[in-house]
Amino acid sequence: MYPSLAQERRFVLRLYEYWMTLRGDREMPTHRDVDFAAMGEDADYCVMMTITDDIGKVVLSAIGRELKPDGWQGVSRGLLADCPAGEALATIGLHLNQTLQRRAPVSHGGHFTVRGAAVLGRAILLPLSDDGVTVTHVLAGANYKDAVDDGASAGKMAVGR
Amino acid sequence: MAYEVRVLRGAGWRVEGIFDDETIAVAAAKKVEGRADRSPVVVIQEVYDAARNHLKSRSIYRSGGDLSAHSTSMVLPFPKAAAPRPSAIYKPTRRPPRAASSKTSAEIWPWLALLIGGFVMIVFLLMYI
Repeated sequence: MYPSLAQERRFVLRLYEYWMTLRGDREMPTHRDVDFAAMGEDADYCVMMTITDDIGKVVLSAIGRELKPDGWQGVSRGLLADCPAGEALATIGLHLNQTLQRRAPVSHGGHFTVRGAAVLGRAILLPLSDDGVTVTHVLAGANYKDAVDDGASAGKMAVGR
Repeated sequence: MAYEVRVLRGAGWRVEGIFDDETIAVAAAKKVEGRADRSPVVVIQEVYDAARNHLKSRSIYRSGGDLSAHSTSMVLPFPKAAAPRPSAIYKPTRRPPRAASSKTSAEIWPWLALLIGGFVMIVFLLMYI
């Protein structure tokens, strides 16, 4: 059900395809449809956000291991507002309003940090609805690579000249 | 700049995803296309010109879905009109040769009348001189 790496090498498109599979003929799937166990290692790069009436109090009801900021390793739930600025979760949160307003998946890429390390990555936010009308949850995922690598290799090239 | 994947559902286009990367957007559109039961899928590039406060949209991808099967009275700002098929391109055609018609003979009558009138005038002039 969840696309394999062989079927789709791009993380955000694997997640997008999974969302479409879960959705079927509906506008969007429910949060209960999401099976993190079926997602393998990709689940470590995902977060489930529960939308409340107060947009400032979005609850992170499941946080993938690879997206947890420093000091959150033992935390299973938290508030989006409590995430340190610039961290992956906070960067994902920047696009939450757009997902809620457009009621559609939103993907964006760019620089952010993961536990303080600068990375270059891409995220996707997928709306979920338990009642078929209101967006009650958002499944988000982000994968990344070390942004320092490119700079370091460029630096080495410059030194070698 | 954003790329929107849209699919034609019933009477309107539904946004199936918003991406900031063209390659990802087109790849996503192809995934939607595989599930959309032959519904047309398009990717719209939207560029916001802050200086002119103007949002410009253009279609950068369009699936082979059958638009005619989903006819709608909506005025859609997208996608741009597809390039006409070669067979539909206007080609000037040679007119069939005009048959000798009454119009040809009709054109002669004024000249004939002028000739006869001139001849009659000359005859009158010769008689009186």
